[in-house]
Amino acid sequence: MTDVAATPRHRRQPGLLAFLLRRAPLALALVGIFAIAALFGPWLAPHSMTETNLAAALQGPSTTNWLGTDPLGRDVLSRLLGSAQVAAQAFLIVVLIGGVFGTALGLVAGGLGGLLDLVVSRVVEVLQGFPTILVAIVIVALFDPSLTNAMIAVGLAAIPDFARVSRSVAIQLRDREFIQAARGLGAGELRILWSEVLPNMVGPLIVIASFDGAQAVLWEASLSFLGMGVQPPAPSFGSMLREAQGYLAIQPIFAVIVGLAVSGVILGLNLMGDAISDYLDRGGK
Amino acid sequence: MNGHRNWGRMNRAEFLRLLGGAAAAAAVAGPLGYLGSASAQEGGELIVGISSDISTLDPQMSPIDVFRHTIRSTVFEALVFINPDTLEADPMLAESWEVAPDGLSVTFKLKPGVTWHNGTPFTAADVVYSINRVKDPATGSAFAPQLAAVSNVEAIDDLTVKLTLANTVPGILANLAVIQILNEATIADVNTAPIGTGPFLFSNWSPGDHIRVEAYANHRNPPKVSAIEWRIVPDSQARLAGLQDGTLQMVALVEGKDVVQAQAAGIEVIQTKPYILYENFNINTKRAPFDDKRVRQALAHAFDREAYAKTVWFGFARPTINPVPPEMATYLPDSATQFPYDPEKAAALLAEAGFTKDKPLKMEILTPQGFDTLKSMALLLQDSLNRLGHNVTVKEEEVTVWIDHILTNPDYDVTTDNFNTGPEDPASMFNSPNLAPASNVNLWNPEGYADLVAAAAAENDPAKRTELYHQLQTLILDEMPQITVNHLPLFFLGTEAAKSLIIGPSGIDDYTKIAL
Amino acid sequence: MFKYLFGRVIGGVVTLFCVTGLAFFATALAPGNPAAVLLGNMATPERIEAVTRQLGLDQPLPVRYGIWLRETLLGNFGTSNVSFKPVADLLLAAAFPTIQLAVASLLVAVLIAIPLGLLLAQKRNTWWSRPASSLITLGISIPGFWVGLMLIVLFSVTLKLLPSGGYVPPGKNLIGNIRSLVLPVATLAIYLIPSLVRFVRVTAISVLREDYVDTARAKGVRPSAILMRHVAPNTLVTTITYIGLQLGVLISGTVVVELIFSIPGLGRLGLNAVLNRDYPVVQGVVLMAATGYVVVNLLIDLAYALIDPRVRAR
Repeated sequence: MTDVAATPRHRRQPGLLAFLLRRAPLALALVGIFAIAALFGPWLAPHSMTETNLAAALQGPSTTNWLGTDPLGRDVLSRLLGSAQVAAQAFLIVVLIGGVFGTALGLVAGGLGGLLDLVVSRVVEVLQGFPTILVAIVIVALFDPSLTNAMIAVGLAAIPDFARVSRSVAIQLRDREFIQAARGLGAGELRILWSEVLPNMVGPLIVIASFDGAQAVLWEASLSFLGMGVQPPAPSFGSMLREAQGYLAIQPIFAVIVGLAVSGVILGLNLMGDAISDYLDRGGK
Repeated sequence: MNGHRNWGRMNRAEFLRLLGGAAAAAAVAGPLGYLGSASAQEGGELIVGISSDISTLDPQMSPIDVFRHTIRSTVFEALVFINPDTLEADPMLAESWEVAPDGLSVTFKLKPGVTWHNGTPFTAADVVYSINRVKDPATGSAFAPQLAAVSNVEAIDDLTVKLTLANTVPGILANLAVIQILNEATIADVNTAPIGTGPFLFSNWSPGDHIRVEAYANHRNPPKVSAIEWRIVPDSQARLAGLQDGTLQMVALVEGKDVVQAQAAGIEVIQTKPYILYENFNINTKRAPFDDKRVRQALAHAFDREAYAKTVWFGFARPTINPVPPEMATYLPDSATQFPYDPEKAAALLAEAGFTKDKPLKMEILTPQGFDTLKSMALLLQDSLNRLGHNVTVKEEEVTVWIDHILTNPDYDVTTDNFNTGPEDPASMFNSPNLAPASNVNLWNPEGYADLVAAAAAENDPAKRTELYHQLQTLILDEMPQITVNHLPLFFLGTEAAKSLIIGPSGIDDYTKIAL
Repeated sequence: MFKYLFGRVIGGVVTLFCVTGLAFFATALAPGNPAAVLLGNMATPERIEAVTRQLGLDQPLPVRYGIWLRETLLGNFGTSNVSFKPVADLLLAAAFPTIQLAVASLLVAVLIAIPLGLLLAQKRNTWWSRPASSLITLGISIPGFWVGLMLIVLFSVTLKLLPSGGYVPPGKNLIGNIRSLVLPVATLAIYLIPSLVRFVRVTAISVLREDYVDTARAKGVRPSAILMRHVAPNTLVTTITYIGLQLGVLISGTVVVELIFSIPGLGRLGLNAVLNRDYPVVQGVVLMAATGYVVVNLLIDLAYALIDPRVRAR
């Protein structure tokens, strides 16, 4: 999304955290829970994520299993915490691939222009022309089903977003005074891009990262729903949803709990993107 | 796949797919199959939900299709039909047959007046052509092993065919029940517009979406419905929803969890005899340490068959360690309960073979994608062994890749799988790709095993035959080249009308009785 | 102007070339020999080899690509390895349901998202604007297959109002066709609406901040008139470009929806073909999707060039 105006970093803004607390408490709470689950999941999990117990399969919430058990009697809460970790990995892989390659492409294209811009725009269009899900399936088939392979495809799909935003910011900044000044001091174009232009697009890039990261979590869920993500018995949102929907009429609570958890994480990331975008837009007011 | 009796001779993927999305049909229990609805009306289209597509229209090929019974049961016919109640051969294209006293030849009298869908008459020459086509190695038919003992086939006259056998084959009629008869003149079109003699005409196959056949009015036993359309609906909840809102009238081959949910929603469940299939673990017996039978026996003790049948199959599965069901005359008495779940015994056997907590067993269990019960099996065995301190991983593979790793270029430790028991012929199980002596995925063929299998298949005397099969069961239960987990029926879900489907154990069903 | 359009067309062709080339090599390198998949376990090695040759899979990759490219340019898309039907026929049959689904979903999404986005921009300072935006964001936060299943449970199983799946061609039964598309279109639209609303809202807000809007406001033009006369047209033009770029997302979305609702479209065709190693069909589907993407974006650029004098001057 190219909606975020670039602001030179020289302007001081009130704290982001204070802004989020005031204007987007839900986003902060959801992303906070997600982050804690992803970072500390293994320590917080009350039970093993993989230990089965067929005698206690498909139970509703209880004092031993706070969120109930899955069809093999594994603890749902513990598996959700594990899934959050997988989702966070998906997020990181996609944002890293999309962010590093996309930003580099966009920065160079927008900052230097000319033939380079033409070529990069073409590459970006090629990447966009691919239907993400078919690419993901082909990549998984080509190598092996694993989180990393599935997310590489989603990461490729994220490159255009980062590239477009960084390109448009670079174009806007190219002829600003502080850049001209740096150029006047004899700094090389690449050096200017790196030290003057890049720092000024961090805000918009964070916004893209949270939107594309939310998409990454969504795609991870979709692909592991189709059996193309992390390998069993490791939990993931998609494989848990798949298990849950197979038993919809037998244990609906299982489906509701998993559905809420998955949607909560993705919603939190999307709202966070909206909120940060607002923050940058309003200069924190 | 509808209850292929000789699953064994089909590709594993087929079996697998069968379980995965669904389970095929076979022998309808008792008289159930004949109870048509009283107020049946002529006409109407039967829409059936299936979980995956077929891969070919050629009824003699279909190597990996769970749902090949669609075309095979409707467009084509075989010489005989295995009756699900009696498990004996009923006439189909053959009107009668006579086995020579020495058991080395069979002469078939064909039904007169049968025509192909294009109007040309059906003759003995078509039977000769079809049998030779299956036998020809160049065809690469999945059904070739059924005819291994057939040394010659000739047309005596237009309506008489004589089969010569290299040795006696007590199960020859059961073998012929899966050999579909093709029309030589139109063979070039078999992959696009197949011509058969069956009660339905091929209409259309839209890959990934549907298969459609229409009633053939000139058939001697014309169907009551005007058409059947099999729709591919991969999602199990969507299939159930389709039954509930009337989009579908039948769903073929489902798992225990779907049966439970269908029952709760008031949907009819059509169930075959409870021992048409068995689920199992195949083991690569050529790869250390699985070449050590103590390790294989340990795996058998490490899997809780009772809990698996009760929880994952909701009690619809019957736990057993012996692939031969007790209902068969050749069953080895009291063998089903051998190797009970006993983690301590498993640990002790592994320790004997050199694997302890300090020197854990490293093992990877493969399981094909889309088969939820098989995945649960893999996860349960993994968890059980890892609790003993071993290092077991599970890998879920796309079916095409999995076939490659199991079959084409064997590279695996252990895999989940399932096979047909072949209840009408004790020989068929020992021709399946996990137990056939010459080539099996377990790469297991000890001295004397091949001779024993061949002798048992050719033995005419029931008592001697049973004795030979007892020896075979004793051998595989001790050697444990593969671990049987349970026996299963095949489940269909549907409306009241769907109950008139006759599910044959040979993978050929009768759809002509269904009226909507 | 001509130079600009010429450049765009050339660019589109290059894009198509790259996309199909990548698709070709990716599918060809995937494990699993299609010949072995086709023949199953009874096949002799000789037979597998023969079929491998028959399918042309024994040739080196670049040669295969060259052959494929030549045949494709001649309009020959080959034959499916599985159904032996011409790929062109399969693509044609599958294209219509997908296009119908995509266009209908997009239309519904746009008709809902643009007014909603404008409204949220106009009322951006009211207390309910933020909760309302959050609620809309929920649509992009629930996996599509999950939304689809919930709609089926509610509207097909419980209320028995709409079919749970299947596709009725409009030529066969128009009412049936519409009924069969309601839930799939709803599923896809729920996914498309949030990002569209967000885009429209942000664009509209930036237009609202333009000097000429301030001038109009100062002149006493009513806010609703400003919205209709100045903000809406400007927003619409940018939104169309945005939609063009979102086409890849739309195509991915149709795959999931086609799977859940059993719609015989391109997504299902492509997915099945990948799983069956049916290369000619995979390549055909990717070519079709990429062509659709390039052509639509080209048309949008064209329209843009006609509307916007700055582009025309280039």
